[in-house]
This record gives sequence, structure tokens and C-alpha cells, in this order.
Amino acid sequence: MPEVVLLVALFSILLFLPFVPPLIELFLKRDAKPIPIDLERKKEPDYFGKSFINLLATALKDLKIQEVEKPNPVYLKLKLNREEWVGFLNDEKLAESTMDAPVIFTKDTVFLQNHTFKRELVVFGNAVFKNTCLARSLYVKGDCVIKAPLRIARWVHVEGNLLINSNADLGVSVYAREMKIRGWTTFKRAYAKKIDTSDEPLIDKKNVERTINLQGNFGITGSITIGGKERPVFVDGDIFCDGDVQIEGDVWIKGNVFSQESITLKNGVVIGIEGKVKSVVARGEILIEGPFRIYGYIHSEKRVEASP
Amino acid sequence: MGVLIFLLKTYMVFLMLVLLLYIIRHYTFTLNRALGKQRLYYQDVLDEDLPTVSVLVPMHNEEKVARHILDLLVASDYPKEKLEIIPINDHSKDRTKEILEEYAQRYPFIRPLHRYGDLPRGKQNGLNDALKIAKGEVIIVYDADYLPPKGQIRILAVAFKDPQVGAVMGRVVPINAEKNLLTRLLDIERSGGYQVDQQARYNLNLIPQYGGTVGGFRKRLVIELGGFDARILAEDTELTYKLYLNGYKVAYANIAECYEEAPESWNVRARQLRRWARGHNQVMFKYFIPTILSKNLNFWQKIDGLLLLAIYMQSFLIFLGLLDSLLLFFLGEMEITSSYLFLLFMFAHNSFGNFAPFFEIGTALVLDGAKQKVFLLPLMFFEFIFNIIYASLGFFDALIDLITKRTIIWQKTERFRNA
Repeated sequence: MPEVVLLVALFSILLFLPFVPPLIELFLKRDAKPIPIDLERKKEPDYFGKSFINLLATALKDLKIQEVEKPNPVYLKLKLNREEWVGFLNDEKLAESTMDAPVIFTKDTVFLQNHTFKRELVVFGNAVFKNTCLARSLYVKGDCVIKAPLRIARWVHVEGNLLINSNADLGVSVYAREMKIRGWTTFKRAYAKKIDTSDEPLIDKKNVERTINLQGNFGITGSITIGGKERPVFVDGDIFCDGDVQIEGDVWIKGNVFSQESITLKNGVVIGIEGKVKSVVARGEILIEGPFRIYGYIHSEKRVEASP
Repeated sequence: MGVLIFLLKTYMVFLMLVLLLYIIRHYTFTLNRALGKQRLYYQDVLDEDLPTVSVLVPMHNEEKVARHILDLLVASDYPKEKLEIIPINDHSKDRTKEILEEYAQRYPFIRPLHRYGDLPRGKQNGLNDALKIAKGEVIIVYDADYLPPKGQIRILAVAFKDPQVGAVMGRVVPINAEKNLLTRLLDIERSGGYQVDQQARYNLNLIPQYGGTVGGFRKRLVIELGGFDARILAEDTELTYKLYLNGYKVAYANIAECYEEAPESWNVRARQLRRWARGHNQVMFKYFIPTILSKNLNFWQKIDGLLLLAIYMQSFLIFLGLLDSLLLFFLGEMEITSSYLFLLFMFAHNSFGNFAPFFEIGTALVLDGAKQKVFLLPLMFFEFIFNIIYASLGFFDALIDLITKRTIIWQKTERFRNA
């Protein structure tokens, strides 16, 4: 008899054992909420810079900040994402070679020395980088000129124009009014009214004859190569491609270019129309070689590499 | 008696093979989602030339939820000159009509469609009528209990820049997940269905399904294809097949997440599931042969298409299998075959068949970062039994529809939210 009871008990335990963890979770509700969805979420190419500067503005709202005149950095404890020290400087010489806190330069700044800014670097004015610098993120209120190698880990937000004359790794996200790439540059996505790699007039600003005109939007299941070496090609529409996209020469795509693989744009390609936002988007790499111009947005899940 | 036993055993082997196919399917999807190449959606295409959009919101007695969805649609960042909202008031007897008129007065881009009198009830009928007055090139549909985020219409509409896309589908997330056992199970079931199943089908260029809400389609195309069949309850599944058979595809936007209200009572869930199964099986009867014969589908799309069509029949087949096994047991004929191959099927089913969908859900939960929810998986067994019963009833409903050609009556899902 005791054996029977033991067996029944053992059977019951083994039968219900798989349901013990679920019942614990059901009653304790350790993870009962649905996945979070931000109802305010929308696509904003300037999201990072705007969010940071809004945080900063909110933190500074109740503080009376005068122009920093003393030849010392001023540190204020501000609540950004968390409460932390933020440095306010008016001269690049005051910055140490490695800065651990977010740093704000209150006027036009020329960076003549090597610096590593482990947190956000903000310039309320124009910024010129004449020596190698590293920063987590960069916000510039005015124009920004990069004349020496610059490496940014996260985002770059330039309210004015961004001119890149040196090698630059601009991180994940770049936002500027206009972006002139004149040195080897890499990033993951960039948004500007105009992004170009050359000053010379390209096909959208030239008088050309014997053009090949293609109308409409194109959905391509394989790969595509468009060559404008022999005759200029105008595509008045979008290109959506499952494979690789290779465009070379005098080719003007007036719409978007989208690829599930990689995109190569070489020697004179123009994307979009001045005054309108269009996109080049790829799951793989986007390689830009030689003269190129886009009005709008470039996005790669891997990286964009531009060699003017 | 010998013939009967032979038939019963043959059916068991047939069922094993069918289940084995589904097992392979579930595992393929799960492994693809976990380890495979992920297909990119179009959310990163920024374009100022967006299509004009009509947002249709079918409503029947939706006074509890109407204001919520309308407020969120009004707050959308989609250019208002390219947007119109058409709430379809389908024979409401509560305050839905007054609420819609109030919003129409405040916002000129809200143009309610009131359907009363002899007009036949039902979502598909409402959509057909709304298509006649909608001005948008693209139609986006939300059920009335949904809570669309600010940027979602743009995310969904931009897919139609790709000329191959006929419809787009977003992801559904129950907002009331923590309410009770049922809503928690539905929450994790939805995770598996969207995060893994839909995304994998999109990755593999198979047949992601347009789900009739948090999604949209090209108006011109749907009108050209004859609109929605008034006799079919699953207008979304029907549209999916119509599009693929005509050479278009459905894009799946995992990023277009939208809260819905999941049923909070088992009775309501039973009615919803039975309606879904009925509608889905109606589509199966109509499109099974055309899917096989289609020249616009490749081999794998046909396989996926057929398995998807039969998914709600699967419950009925398992139900028959249970009866079959009982009969064989009492007839003393449990030994179906001595072949080792059959043993493999048995192992495959017992080891994986019962667990493959759960494995899919588990993977989805890990991808969602909801690791504690994985502990709920064993409780899915009870929902599995529940699904077999009500999906089987839905199959019978569809069968009777097919035979009798009776009139279809739409049964709305009850809402639980406080107004």
C-alpha cells in the first residue's frame, strides 16, 4: 500500500512539475506587461541630436548661465539622462586631452590639439577640427569643418553645413543642413538637404544630349547594373531591388534607390531632386566612389563608405 | 472490419506526414529568424512624395474605443493634405455615430461612412462600400480597438513605393496582456506569430499574411481584383492570396507595432477563433486549387501557401486523429506499422510536433527580450486543446457555408476597455 501511495505521489509530482514555473510566473507576474510601444514614435533623422539638445535645454532652463569669462572650465551638475557633471568651456586650450564628462564649448572653437571626448561634445558656434579628435557624439550649432581625422562613435548633428576635408568616421547617424564630403568618410546613415563628394557640376546641372529616359518605379527581383558611361541615363522613378545595385557614370535617379543587398554608386551618379528628400537605403554596404550627389538620406544597415 | 482498420491506420500515417510538414515549417521559420539573413523593410526610405492615404476603421458599437483610435489618428505625423480617415459605422446602436459626427465636425479629414438600413453587415461589406468613396491611393485599415503610434501610417504607406508590393502588414501586440491567463497566452502567441512566423516568411520570400488591421493595400489594385468577397469572413487572408496569385507580394513591417485589445474571456476568444477558422477555411476552399496551378508563385511559395491555407484545418485533422487513435485503441489495433521509419515519425511528432510552435514562440519571446514569459509555455498546451475544439467548429461552419451557400453573419469581437 505505501508503495502505491508513493507511486501515485511521484506520478502526480512529475505530471505537475512542468506547470510549476508557469504558475509561479502567472501569479507573480514578473514579466506580464506587453512589449513597450512608444505611441509618439516617428522617423526623425535628427532624433539623436535633437533629443540631446532638448535634454540639455530642459536641464539648463532654470539655471541662469552667464557667458563663461573666467579662464577656467565651469562644471555644473545637470540632469540629462541621469544627474552628471557637464563642463562649460570657452577655449579649446582649457580642455584636457581626455575629457570624461559631456563638454560644451560656448563659442566658435578651433580644435588644435588631440582630444578624446568620452561623452558628448557640444559647440555653440562654429567648429573646426585641425587635429585628431575622438568623441562619443558631436553637436555643432553652426558650421563644422573637419580638417584632421575625426572619429565619432554615435552621432553627429550640425545645424549648419558640414565640410569633411580629412578622413572621418562619423559613427551611426549624421545630420547636417548640407554635407560636403571631400575626404574618405564612413558612417551608417546621413541626412542633409544635399550630400555631395565633388564641386564639379553633375548630370542634374549639365546640359546633356542623347539621354536614355526611363519612366516609372522599378521592382527588381535580382541584381541591377545601370551604366551611364556611353550615354546619360535619367530614371524618373524609384528603384527597389532584391539584389545588388551598381550605378556608374552619368546616371540621374530622381526617386529612391533601395536594395536588400549592397549599393555601389560611382563617378557622377545623382539621386533625387533639389528641394525634395529622397533616399538610398541598403541592407548591406553602400559604396560611393568619385563624384556623387544626393538630395536627402543615405542609410546602410552595415556602413556607408564614401571615397571622393 | 479489415477495410475500416486499414482506413483508420492510413489516416494516422497521413496525419503524421501532415504534422511532419508543419514541424519542418515551424523549425525552418524559427531557425531563419534566429540565425538567418533578415530582410529589410522600407521604414528607412525617407521620401517627401508620399502617396495619398485613406485610413479605414470598421466600427460596430465601438463607443468604448472610438475616441482613442481617432485621437491617435488625428495626431499622426502623416501630411494631413494627403490623409483622410473614414470610420465605417456599421449599424451601430450605441453612441458610435454621435462620436464620429463630433470628430467629423472638428477635423475636415475625418469623413465617417454610416451604414444602416438594408445594407448587409460585416467588415468586408463595409470595406467594399468605403472603397467607393475613399480618395487615397493607399488604404490603411485599423480595427477600432487599435492604438496606432504617431509615425505608423508613414511606415506602412512608404512600402507602396515598391511597385511589387500589393499589401503591407504590421505587428499586433495585446495591450491588456497582463489581465489574465488568456490574455497572457494570447500575448505570447502573437509574439510567435509576428516576431518569428511573419518575419521569417518575409525573409524567405514566402507568403507573409495581410492580417486585415495594422496594414494596408493599393486601392486601385483591390478594386481591379473585384474588392472583397462578401461571402468570405477572412477578407484579409483572401486578399493575401488574390495578390500573390496576381503577381504582387505582401510586405511585413515588424517595426510597425500596434497595440490591440485581446479578448479577456474564453467565450469571446472562442467566438473570435471560430470566426477566424471559418473565414480562413472559406479561403482555403476557394484558393487551394488556384494556388497549386498559379504561374506567379514559385515552388516554395506554393508549399507555404498551401500549408498556410490549411493551417486552420490542421486542428480538425488532429481532432479526427484523436478519435481515430481512440477507435484503434479499442479495436486493439495500435500497431500501425512495424517499420522503423514510422517510429521516426512518432518520435518526430512527439518530440517536436507538440513543441515546434512553442519553440517558435519561445524564440520570439527571447527576441522581444521578454525572457520570463517563456515560463508560460507549458500552459499553451491547454490553449492548444481549446484551439483544436473551436478551430474544428470553424472548419465545420466553413464546410456548411460551402455546401449550403448560406448567408454569412458577421460576429463582432466584444470590447473590454473602459470608454
